[in-house]
Amino acid sequence: MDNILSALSSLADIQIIFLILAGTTAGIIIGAMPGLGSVLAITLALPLTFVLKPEASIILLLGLYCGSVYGGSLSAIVINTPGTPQSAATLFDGYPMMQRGDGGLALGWATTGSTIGGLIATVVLVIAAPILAQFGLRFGPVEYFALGIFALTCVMSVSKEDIFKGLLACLAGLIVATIGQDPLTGDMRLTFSSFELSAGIGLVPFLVGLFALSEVFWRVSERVNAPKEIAKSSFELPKLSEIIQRRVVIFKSAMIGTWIGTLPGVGATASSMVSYAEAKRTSKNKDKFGTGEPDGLIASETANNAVTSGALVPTLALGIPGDPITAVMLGALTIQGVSPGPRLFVENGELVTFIFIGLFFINIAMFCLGALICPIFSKIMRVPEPLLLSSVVILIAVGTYTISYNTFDLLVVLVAGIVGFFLRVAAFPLAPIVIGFVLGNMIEQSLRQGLILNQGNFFAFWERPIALTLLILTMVFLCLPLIQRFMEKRKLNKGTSID
Amino acid sequence: MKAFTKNIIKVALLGALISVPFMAQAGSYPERPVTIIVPFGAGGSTDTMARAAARELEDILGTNVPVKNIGGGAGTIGAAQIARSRPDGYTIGVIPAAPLINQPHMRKTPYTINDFTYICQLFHSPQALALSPNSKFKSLKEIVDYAREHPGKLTYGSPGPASLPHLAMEKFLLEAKVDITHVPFKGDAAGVTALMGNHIDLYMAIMSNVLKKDLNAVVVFADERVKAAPNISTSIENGFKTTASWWGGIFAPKDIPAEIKAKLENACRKTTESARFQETLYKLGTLVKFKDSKAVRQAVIEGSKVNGEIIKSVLKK
Repeated sequence: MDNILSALSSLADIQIIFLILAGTTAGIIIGAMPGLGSVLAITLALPLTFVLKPEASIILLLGLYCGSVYGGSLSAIVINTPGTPQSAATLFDGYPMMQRGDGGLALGWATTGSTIGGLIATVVLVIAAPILAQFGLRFGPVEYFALGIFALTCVMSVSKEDIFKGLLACLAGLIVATIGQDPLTGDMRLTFSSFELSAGIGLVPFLVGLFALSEVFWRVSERVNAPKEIAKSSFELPKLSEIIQRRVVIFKSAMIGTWIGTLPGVGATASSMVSYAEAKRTSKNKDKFGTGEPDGLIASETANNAVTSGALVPTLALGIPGDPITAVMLGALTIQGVSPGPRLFVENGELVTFIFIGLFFINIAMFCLGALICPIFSKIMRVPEPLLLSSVVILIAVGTYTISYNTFDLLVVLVAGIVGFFLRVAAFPLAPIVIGFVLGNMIEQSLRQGLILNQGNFFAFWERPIALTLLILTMVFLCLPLIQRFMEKRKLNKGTSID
Repeated sequence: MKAFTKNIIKVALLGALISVPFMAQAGSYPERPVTIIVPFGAGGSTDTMARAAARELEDILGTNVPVKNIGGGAGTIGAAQIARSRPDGYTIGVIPAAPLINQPHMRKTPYTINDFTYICQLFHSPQALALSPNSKFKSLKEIVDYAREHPGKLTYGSPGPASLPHLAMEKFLLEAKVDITHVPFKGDAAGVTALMGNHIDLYMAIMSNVLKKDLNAVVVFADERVKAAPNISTSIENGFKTTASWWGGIFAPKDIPAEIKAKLENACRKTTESARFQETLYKLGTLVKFKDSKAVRQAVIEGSKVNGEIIKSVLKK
């Protein structure tokens, strides 16, 4: 209780309030720019953490983090380009809603979903951080492998009509993920003796090229008309009754996001895919997934913002960062003389409470700021197309280059853009490529680690309860449509035989 | 006549512009910001250290010292950028040794260890072997004895193939003549979690990570015990010869002017003498260690030779 009171009084500081607002706003804007992402937002603020107090710097970093993860959804919905990799799954249903003229509502759902996801995850963090951290430790390579395979099933829902093309695209993504250094032996694969390729293909340049640049090519080629000015409104919050109606999806996505956030190295991108796959498996509206179904959008956005709190669990409780962004935060904390880890909750209980309450306020600030920024952002559609497309190209180039000042990344953007364009022409879905690419490394590395640990015996994977559950869920998910079709046929046959 | 005057002005302006870079070299260095390239992402151990060093260098050199993170390819992408930067002292790198002494043996890199000017060594942190929470072992001897009776049964993790911890452990295993199975992870975060969840038996980590994450280390591969963890015995005390550490310093592109090199070396020495820098590194569990240009160059040459041989015998069978 003392902790809560003193945390609240630290929060009532004018500097802290300013940092919450400034950090979250800057985060949303940076996140919404294709190519600029959470890591860049945090890196830019890093020098400030040397001069600010520990509380002030952590609140600034958290604001930037939450804001940027949410901001990525804006461009995913409005211009069919995920602003950050974390919002890749938001695109699957967000952009179709935009095309249909429901862009304002899509932005509203993204804002609501992100906020609720962040809030639920914060509550979970408050109640169960140490327990969750312990549970996360039960995830070894075998469990990571099973989780990756489960997430891969969302290829089925984003492939739309043509499952075969979807699987081919996913395979292509998996193959691109193998370029570079073999994660276990260190050998070079598919690098064609190129030094640049030995570092592998970067996620951001690949994603930005495949979606954003190919979208620009697509529009320039005038094969499709841009979504017309048919949006009923530029920003529209969903009705409370609708939120209550979709409560199961929202709650489940938030829990999935929080939980996956606690697993180091999986990340928000993969978690939004797991959440999407799970929503697709159980939602009442599952048949509409991929065509502009709010449930799909909610699943992705709620989960990726829940990850922000989830990723803090191992960071604070174990001193192990849950993703690259919390790694930066960890560095900033250490510099300040705060050492996260098992002793943090005992030695620095006040700071922990401050972080929790701070997160709460950041999520609320994010909601209000989102409601302010979204209408401005969705006006982007009114910008004349030549101007919009050329600004997107400039943003992509500048954004990608600033990640690692590497001109090779620009080449990746260009090649991915051209490939993406021709795949669109051939009516291949692009989303499965990204799913394969994001999950490929995790699945490969954990499979091979698991095999080393079990002396090459794959059947030992089935003896682990968590892994077994996930693998069975995967099989049920894949076989259910076939079984259903079979049963319907039988029913139909029976019906005809009686006649 | 008017045209002639105009041309004169043009030529004079052109001359002035061309001579700017030369003046920068001849004049009092530094006249503009000195950029530090870090070949790893923001927030990591190397980055935090580089930023702490940058803060000192700003005071010592009296100019801005921005840090630029160029990650990827186990540090080789950033190292390559440093090697091909202009050798004018305005681009330097804070690099751990691995991209220089390990990676060129693993892949085709556009640089060799001869493409750098070695300014100084800044830091080092000894490697330590950590145990999983369920481990029944109490000493290095017990581990070695068990491994001798059960070859390949124990597992140890490292942050990646051909990382400094991986090679250090292999070096030790060659010396102890036992077989412990290597499980590479992608970075310390994933590896340490696997250790704490008892998915692997041992993990080779740098001392700073052992301290930060409260790991249960059984031995530190160093000549003397680490001040921050006086209970952990050294490999030498246990009767082995293997020592290993994670270390690095300030390296620049080759052939920078001798005068600028001397200035940087001096600034580096002052950095390591700063109490604030020492305190930041202590918080990170790393030790300040100064070696001058000559000594650090020698260390890189030796490290490259030794690790090249280990890589050849262990990884490139």
